[in-house]
Amino acid sequence: MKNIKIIFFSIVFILLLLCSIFLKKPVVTDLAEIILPEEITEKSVIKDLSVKSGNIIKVVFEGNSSEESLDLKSEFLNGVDKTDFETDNINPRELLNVYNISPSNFLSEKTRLLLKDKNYEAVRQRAFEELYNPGGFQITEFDKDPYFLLTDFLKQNMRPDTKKIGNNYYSFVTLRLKNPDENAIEKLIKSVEGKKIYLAGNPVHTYYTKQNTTVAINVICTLSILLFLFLVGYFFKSLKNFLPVVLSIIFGFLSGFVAVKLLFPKFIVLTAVFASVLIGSGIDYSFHYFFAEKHDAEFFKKLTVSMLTTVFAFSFLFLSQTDILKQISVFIIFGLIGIYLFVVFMYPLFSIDKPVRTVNLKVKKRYRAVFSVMLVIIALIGYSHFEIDNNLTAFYTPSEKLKHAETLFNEVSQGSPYTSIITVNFSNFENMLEKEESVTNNLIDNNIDYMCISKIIPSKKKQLENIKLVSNLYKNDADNSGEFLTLEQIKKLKTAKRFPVEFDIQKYPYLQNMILNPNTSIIFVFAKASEINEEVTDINEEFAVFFTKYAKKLLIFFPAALLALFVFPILAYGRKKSVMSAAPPILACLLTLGVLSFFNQSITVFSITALFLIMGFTIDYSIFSSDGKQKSKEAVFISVITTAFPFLALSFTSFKFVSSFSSVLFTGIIISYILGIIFSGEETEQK
Amino acid sequence: MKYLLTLCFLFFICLNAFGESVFEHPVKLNAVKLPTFEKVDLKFEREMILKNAKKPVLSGGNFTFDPKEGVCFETTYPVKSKVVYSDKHGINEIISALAKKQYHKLEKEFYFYHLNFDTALRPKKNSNAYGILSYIIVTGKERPEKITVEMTNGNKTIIRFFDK
Repeated sequence: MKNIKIIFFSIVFILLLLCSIFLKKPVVTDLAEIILPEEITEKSVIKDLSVKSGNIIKVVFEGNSSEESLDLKSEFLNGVDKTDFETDNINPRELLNVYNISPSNFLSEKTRLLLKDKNYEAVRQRAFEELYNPGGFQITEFDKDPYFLLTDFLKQNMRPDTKKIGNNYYSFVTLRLKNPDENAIEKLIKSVEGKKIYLAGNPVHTYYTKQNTTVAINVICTLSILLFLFLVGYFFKSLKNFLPVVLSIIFGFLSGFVAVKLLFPKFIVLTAVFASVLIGSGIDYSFHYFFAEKHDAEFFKKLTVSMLTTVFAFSFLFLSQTDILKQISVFIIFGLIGIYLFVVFMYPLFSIDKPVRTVNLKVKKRYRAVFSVMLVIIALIGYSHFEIDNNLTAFYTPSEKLKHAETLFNEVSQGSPYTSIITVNFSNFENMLEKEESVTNNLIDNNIDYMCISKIIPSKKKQLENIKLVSNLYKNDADNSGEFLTLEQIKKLKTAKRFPVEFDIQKYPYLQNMILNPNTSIIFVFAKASEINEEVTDINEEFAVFFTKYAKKLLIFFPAALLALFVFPILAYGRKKSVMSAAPPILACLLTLGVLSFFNQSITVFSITALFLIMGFTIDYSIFSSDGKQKSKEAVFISVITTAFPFLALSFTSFKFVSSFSSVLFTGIIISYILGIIFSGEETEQK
Repeated sequence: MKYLLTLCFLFFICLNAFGESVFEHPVKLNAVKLPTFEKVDLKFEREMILKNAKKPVLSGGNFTFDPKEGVCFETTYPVKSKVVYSDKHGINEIISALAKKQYHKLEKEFYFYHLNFDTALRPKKNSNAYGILSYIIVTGKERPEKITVEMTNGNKTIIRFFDK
């Protein structure tokens, strides 16, 4: 029997190991894809925006002079690996060929206003300035456009190559990552180290998050192992028990990892960070095993109920609708089952040391009362200003360096630190241009800068309006060009028949970046959403609406879910014992958000999801403590330390989504444990 | 008769030499010989020959170049205006590169040709100026004396520089 068990587990172990190595799944690198709930990503606008910006790297170059900044840019572009990155080739020639067919169809907004006001003298004056400007240029034939109208239209969309901010000059470029390749980004980041070059954009954010995550995993694992070694050394005065625990954790990790790889089309690297809590749970089960006086049916019943309750609690993460929480759920559920199976079936085969030391943590009655009252007061004060933070920054806050790079890029590339997005739904290309123009008319009136396709390619309707305005100009003012044009040329200008020209959008790939999908285009408005009198696609607001709806759904569901968590304890121990052991976890759940709110910690909708886990973890402690045996209490104490510790470590990670979720779990577990001691009603001094 | 033949021969040689275009003499970057200068403060005359226009457009004024500040054209006739190019504007880029002998900056976008005191720059196919700008010819021994710019649409600008 012993050999069969060893052979069976060895085969399973090897199979899991092979699957984890050879089962290849793409790794999710896009931060938006990680955080955004499915319901949001299904809304094509945000999803498409995320896809469009997902591979764009924004680069800003700083110099003491305009030239220095441009030299740095030139040097950078020469060094960029063309196999990994490409720049948008904005070549105006194709467009110029079309503009030249009928140059009078294209007017800058300023000139349109002057012509509408019949202020022909001002238009002529501007034309003279252009004509006598030694650096000026005439893009088309003079007799076709003596007022330099096309030149003026083109200048409207031209931006200076550098911008002076403070004492420095900045230039910029955008790079497109051809394939999601972390090595390419790493190489790029290293190539700008020590230079006055700032990198921003989604791939850079994702790279740094992944780096920080890897560091977090390593730190948490190392600290957990050190803590574990300390605890084993302290309680058993030997490291003999180390091997089975390590093997159980590896077995659990492999089970979870393979399950995620089998059940999900992609693997989210952050799942591995959360999965580090498996170390705590693995140690949990092991210590319960080591401290148990007898490994009888009662012990295995407790272990099974504890495992099932925790697994059941983690299954509630499926309500989150976000891929990362679903993956964490699957990883931990299968990981816990793996560890449980290893402990139950394999531990009896190991020669295990019994604990030689005990620790007795009990609180004096008067301290219990003071602590309880303080906890309730803190939670109540916290709840008085409690609110759920639905802002996107509550889920991800970039480092100061990246934030600075993003703001700098916006200021240099578009002259404003803000970009708002207006989406336009259309049925055909002409309809899109007309709709964009009707929106941008309002922006022009309010002097707000923007960029969209219709700014480069006017609709036929607008071209016809321009033709009419220009025909009036020529009829009323062309005689003043007599100095440079013959009478015949002037007559031709006055009588020529002009028609709108056709543009084939397929010829201008860089303009297609402003088309989100076959029915939606975007207008980038360089101003705050609050300054715009149009319906702006406010991504933050879209999230807030979704999260509020989601939080309400969870809160309605919460009491029912809590009761559901008692299914296994009630089945195993009956109603009375289950209800008695339920008080600390329930109170902990109720108090946790208040306590965190008291300390101004950000509470997100996912914090509510974390409450299910607090219940799942801490019911486990109640079940084991309920037998009143000293050794069970010690095992629970160690369990609390080993489970809460990874969450404490995770609460310091830079990725806010992870850190806020972890701080809720850490606080909840500790409160529940302390309440458990208070409720136990025992009073002893430290031995 | 012998002298007459010699004279005729010399005349044809000279005629041939005058007919030679600068574009027949491509040069490598290290062989470019252009006037170098630091700060300059000159007068300019500009003649713009617009295709299909009745007559050339003439203007003039003051020209200054400071490597730090860029190029400044102050037109004094027939209209008064002042334009400063401190950015990567074509004319500033070219004059800056010439002044600092940083021809490599132009090499990416232009082919270089050289004959006597003329240096010509013709846009390469990958340049954004290709198809819009035909060529630029810079003439000068110690400082730029003349810059000729011809566009593909037939418009041509000649800027002559004089000491004040």
